[in-house]
Amino acid sequence: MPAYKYLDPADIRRLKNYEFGAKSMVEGYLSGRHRSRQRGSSIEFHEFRQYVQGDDPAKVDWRVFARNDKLFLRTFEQETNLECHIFLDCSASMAFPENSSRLSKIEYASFFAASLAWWVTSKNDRVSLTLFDDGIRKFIPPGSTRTHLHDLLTILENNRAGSGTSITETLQRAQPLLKRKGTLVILSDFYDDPVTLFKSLNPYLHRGFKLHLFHLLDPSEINLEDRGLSRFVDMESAETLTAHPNSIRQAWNDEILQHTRALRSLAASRHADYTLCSTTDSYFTLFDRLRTH
Amino acid sequence: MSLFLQNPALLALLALAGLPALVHLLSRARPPEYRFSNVGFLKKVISRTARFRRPKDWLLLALRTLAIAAIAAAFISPLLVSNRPGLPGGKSTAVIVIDRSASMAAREGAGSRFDAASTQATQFLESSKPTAANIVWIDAQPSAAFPEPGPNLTFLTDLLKTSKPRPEAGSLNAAIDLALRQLAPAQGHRQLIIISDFQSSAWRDFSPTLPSGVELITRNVATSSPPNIALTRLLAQPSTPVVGQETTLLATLRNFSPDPVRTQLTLDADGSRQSQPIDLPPWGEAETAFPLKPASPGNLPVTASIDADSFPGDNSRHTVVLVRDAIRISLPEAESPTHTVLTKIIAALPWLERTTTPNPGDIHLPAPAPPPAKSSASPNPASLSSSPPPLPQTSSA
Repeated sequence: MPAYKYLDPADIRRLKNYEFGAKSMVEGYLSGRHRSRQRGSSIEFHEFRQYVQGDDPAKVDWRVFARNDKLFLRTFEQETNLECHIFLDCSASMAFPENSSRLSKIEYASFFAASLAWWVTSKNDRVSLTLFDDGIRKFIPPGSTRTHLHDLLTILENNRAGSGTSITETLQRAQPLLKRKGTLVILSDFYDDPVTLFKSLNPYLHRGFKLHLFHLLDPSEINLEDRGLSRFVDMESAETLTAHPNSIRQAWNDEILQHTRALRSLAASRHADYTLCSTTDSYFTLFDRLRTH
Repeated sequence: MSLFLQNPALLALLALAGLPALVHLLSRARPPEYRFSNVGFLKKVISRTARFRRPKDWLLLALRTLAIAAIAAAFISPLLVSNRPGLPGGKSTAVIVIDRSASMAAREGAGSRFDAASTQATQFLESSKPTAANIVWIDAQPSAAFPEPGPNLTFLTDLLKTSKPRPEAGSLNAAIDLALRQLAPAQGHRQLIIISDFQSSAWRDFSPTLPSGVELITRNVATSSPPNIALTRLLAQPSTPVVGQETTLLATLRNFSPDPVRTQLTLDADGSRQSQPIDLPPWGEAETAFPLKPASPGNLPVTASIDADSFPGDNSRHTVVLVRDAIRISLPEAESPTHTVLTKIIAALPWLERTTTPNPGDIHLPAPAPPPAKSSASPNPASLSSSPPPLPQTSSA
């Protein structure tokens, strides 16, 4: 496989270890328990997946059970044609921090998006990518081929942070683009109003999409750095503000805490998954979130 | 109150007090830029905390400015000069003027007025603890304990314990002038304390002009006006008697009270003692005479005294009577019958003595006129009886 900026071979190796578990996630979860209408016959065998409650017992491969003493289903291509829709925030604020040894939020999100895309396509599932800032910058329709993955990774490599943010408008515009329900993974710093955000997510929830909101923040956004008196310049609006971080740190922390609580609360009420993630944590923890939810 | 700068040349240091404000303005003008993901969130936070933050910022700026101003002021050393009592711990100079005249010997209860004055002066020194102090006595010739106010308060309190009033009138103006001269060069809080019985007879015409910046404190130790009989005069007539000549000693008494008084006047002279009662009307005067015949020539001390009263200083008077052994007559040499007769008379009387050089107190007889020149005519017996010789003249003492 050629080298891609955001697809580390070590990550691939690690993701392969997720294979068994990933199957259950991809099929048992991402699939939303989708069933094929066709049973047996000419559909090409795809792979085994672990039995989950609700599956048709007729599809259980008893020979595997005899060998492993575990229940597995024989799955076919049609059943696993699932879709994962990745929404990657490319607004200017995602380029924070600039000129730092730490990964910027957009880089961190790109690494995760690349890994997720590889992971999904390696299972012959379909993945789409939507890059947005104050609108949809780029939409790559769902696909599962190697070529599709290559295009996706190349776009990620060439992607740069843009201007302002408008997740709500993006979600509204993307609705007709996502023809089939699946899993919606949104990678953003979510500085929008939580109530407005979930209003725009409601249509997806109604359609049966499974939502994963990954709230990416740099450690210096979670806890303001002590930089002395500084002139803060907004990366999106170019607004300026002179302040001493020490004098407002506690209030900033309280504000962030309040904001994340609001997002978490709204997500829980809508059975959506919300995860606050620092960009210094391994993005593999996000895969763990995908596995457990 | 006025402000005095001890180091005015360092006044420019006060300009440094503007340094915090300048730093504040300059630092606010160009702090380093920091590109941040969401300034809107920051503004929300700052608007909520500004209510608490701005007062703290201003307070911090004010404190920094005050701190630098205080450091600069420490070098400039400002001094507040006031007529009013100074701040605790400030420099103070006190001069205590104490009346030591005869009236201060009057008894007031258990002690005298002077005792009360000493006590008040001691209490003032112990309570106020001035940086420098001095005592000026109101005497006939005012004097001070130190040449200038000093910090040795212990010496002053000891001096007050050992001093006594004097039987003399005090010179108020001179004493106050001396006190003010002592206070003139002093810095800080200056006090002039006058302790006296403020007798109207002495203080009636007293009206000093005090310079500005001197606080005047007066303490009156006279709680009452006790009755007083004073022996105001004692003299001998004649003032220089001859041995054996009867002399009259005249004593004058005065009653300084509103009630009539009887007192006993006693005369001691030449080993003898005479006394007689004297009745004095209210605020009245009386004179009495004592006869005296000195038995020997020389200085005869005479003392007249009355019964003790509130003012012992004026209860006795002393005098010395010069008793001569003879009357000296100065008679120049002359050739004349008068001169011869006078010479014989003087020689005959033991209490006359002739001298050729006149001295004060001597009787001076002029030289008799020379006899007229002899002529052919027989002397006229009638000329002997015409125009008697001029009377002898006594040279004044």
